[in-house]
Amino acid sequence: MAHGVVLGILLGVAVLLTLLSALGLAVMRDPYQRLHYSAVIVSWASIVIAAAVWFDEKEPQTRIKVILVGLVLFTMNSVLTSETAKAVRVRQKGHWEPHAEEGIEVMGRKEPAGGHGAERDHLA
Amino acid sequence: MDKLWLYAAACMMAALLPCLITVFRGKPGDRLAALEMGSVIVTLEMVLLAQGYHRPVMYDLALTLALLSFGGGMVFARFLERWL
Repeated sequence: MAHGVVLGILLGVAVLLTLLSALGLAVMRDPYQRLHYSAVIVSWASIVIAAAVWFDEKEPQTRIKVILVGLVLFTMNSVLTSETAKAVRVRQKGHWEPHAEEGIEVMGRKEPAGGHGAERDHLA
Repeated sequence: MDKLWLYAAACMMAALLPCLITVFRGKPGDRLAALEMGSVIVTLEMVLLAQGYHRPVMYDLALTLALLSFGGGMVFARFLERWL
């Protein structure tokens, strides 16, 4: 009985997080905002599901496999998200690096007075 | 107890609907974001179904899908950058 309750709570949380994230994806305005929502699924829902499998399953091979799936999703999604954001920015602006006229403050960089010469100072 | 997994899988399938709508209606960047989220959801769906039906071999499928969706997403991102 208690086993079923714990499992139900874990799966319920995972499903709820996934549904809310999918809803967030549909509601947001631009790709940068939308990209954030897959991180919720990958970093929370997948861990909760892995915990549920770990709790329910006694077979060590299955436990290791589900942890592996979670780890793969976790590591790959961060790379994929940043790469997608970069691709969207290059598509929109034609460049990836922030330019002076965009008004984006970059730590460790001093813009020269005349345009974007990209004179870079490394952080001390 | 197994039904819990199958109910969760069925409920999680509903999360694919917003992804599908965004894929059909959004701009290219939005579509790619929705596609990536959809592939993550389908991977987790595989895990839930594998546990619900007691088919450990389906975990391999989930793992393969996770790896391939990463490669696919990277290729799409590269193409989106310049050519699409």
